[in-house]
Amino acid sequence: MEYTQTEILQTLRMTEMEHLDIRTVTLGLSLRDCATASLEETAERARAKIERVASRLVQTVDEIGDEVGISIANKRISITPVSMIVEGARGGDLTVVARAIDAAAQTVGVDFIGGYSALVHKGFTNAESEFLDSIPAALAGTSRLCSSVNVATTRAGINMDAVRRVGLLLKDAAERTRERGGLACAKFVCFANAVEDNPFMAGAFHGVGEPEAVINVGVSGPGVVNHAVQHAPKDAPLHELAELIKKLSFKLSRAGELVGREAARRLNLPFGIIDLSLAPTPVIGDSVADIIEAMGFERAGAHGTTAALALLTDAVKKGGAMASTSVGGMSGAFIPVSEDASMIEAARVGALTLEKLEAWTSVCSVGIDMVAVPGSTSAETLSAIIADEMAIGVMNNKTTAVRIIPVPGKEVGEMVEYGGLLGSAPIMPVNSFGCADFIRRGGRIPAPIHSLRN
Amino acid sequence: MANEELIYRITRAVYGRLGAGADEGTVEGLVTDIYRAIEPVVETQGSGGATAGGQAGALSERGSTSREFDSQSRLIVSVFGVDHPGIVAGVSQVLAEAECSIIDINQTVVQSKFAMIIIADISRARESATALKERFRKAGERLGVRIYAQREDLFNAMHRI
Repeated sequence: MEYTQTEILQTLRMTEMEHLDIRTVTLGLSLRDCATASLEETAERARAKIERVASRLVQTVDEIGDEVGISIANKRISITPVSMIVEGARGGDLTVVARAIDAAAQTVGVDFIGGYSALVHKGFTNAESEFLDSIPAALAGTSRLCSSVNVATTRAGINMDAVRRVGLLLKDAAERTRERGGLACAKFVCFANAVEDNPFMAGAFHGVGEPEAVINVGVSGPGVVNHAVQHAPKDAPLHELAELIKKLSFKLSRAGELVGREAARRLNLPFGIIDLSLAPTPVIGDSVADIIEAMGFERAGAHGTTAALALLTDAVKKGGAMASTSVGGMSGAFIPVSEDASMIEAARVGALTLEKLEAWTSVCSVGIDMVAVPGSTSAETLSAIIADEMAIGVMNNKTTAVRIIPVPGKEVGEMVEYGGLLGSAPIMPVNSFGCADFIRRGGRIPAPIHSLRN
Repeated sequence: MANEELIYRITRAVYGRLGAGADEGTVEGLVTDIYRAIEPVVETQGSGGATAGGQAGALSERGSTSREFDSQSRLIVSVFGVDHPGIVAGVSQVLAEAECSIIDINQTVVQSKFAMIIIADISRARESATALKERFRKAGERLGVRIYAQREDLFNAMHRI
């Protein structure tokens, strides 16, 4: 036998018992050639192009999953930031475009399509300013469309006018989907240093430097890492845990690359990147918080968990970087509270707070992710939470993001249910002291000194 | 099998000319037309009699199992359960019916727990991986064991540098 029984059993245990899966195969697609002077025509061209290029995506990826024997959880599409393709047709109803893109996603059978986005880190064009206003209606009126706004980069600083408007936008979007717990906000991400080839939702978009069409892959497997950490000796020193995680990450990444390259070959598209993020799902055992707790904590969120998360993300990156020459995307750990059973529990018992999540941002990527806060939270407070996260990203030269939901009519202690992959979340308390005057100043926080690198 | 490889090559050439974004229907139409034009020649060389349309349809499923790499055309079948007579016979019958030949087989029983790993060659398989999986699922239910089938290159990717 070319493979030992142990090797074969390890792979089987990972795929069948520990939820090792390819989290997403995402088709990145440029829609820049769909721009016209009429919104209706742009919408129609975008719809037609998505349906044409992605027609075989779901079927092909499912076939590969069956053959290779590894579950591929999601098939998705990321598109050119829509604000860029509607610039030539101002003044109309932008939701026409949103609905057309959403319809195309439904036709080709993907669960999410990302890219109702704008990059406004240094300022708005006139069209982008109008576009931002259209986001709440677009998200409330569609089911698969995801939106993101990049409000800061290390090179440009933080556009605080945009941060202020995102706070208002979130309140509006939540109110429009009041009866669904403010669901529209779950499909919106606010970024600093957004990446152009991220395959994960809700923040995926097809960046301006990307090719016509490309296949990107997001691997996952918190369950696999969790199993290994739990079965390691309780007194194993941390560098040994790091080594263990690194080796597993290598294997996960190789499986991801295999699937990605095969999908790209069959769809006759270039292979883009593999994103090495550990991403949890609400399924028991598929949790990033479990890994942290298995390292020796009573609950995720305790003191010391920032250090544990740092070890985890770094080991995952090191193993993955050895496994693939095409590492990209976010490549950190995802800590979406509502999508991680043990994270939910930690937040519910008060071990995990907004402040700790903010601290974790410095060592992962999307720090405040799928966090539900009281519906009474003011737009300024939301903006201030975002500003803090953006500052961490800008100053530390890394991607950070916020996906926060002010759940209308809910207060601390209650739960909100979204179902499916988005899970359920306890309403977490926010700091109630005022920050409105700071946010109302607007303007721009200048780029840090280390942006001057040339 | 020559037919299928030929159609695969034609399809690649058509996509090469028309670009990745080419309409699937158009491509399939073109491939069918080209294949029909050369079919008589192919027929005289003694290849199978399936219609071009059917072959082109099967192509999207089977295109992957080109023989570029051995491990793409090999399946690792793992079988686990409580031991009883007939498990090996049952599993190998499924493989035989699907025209998959067994390359290697390793089977043990420890404390009446049955474990078997088969490496099978699926390059001449008549069925898609999806159909084969469904057969294994049914056979597994009948035999009271769990049967997993995964392409060998997954193991190659994960365990070999």
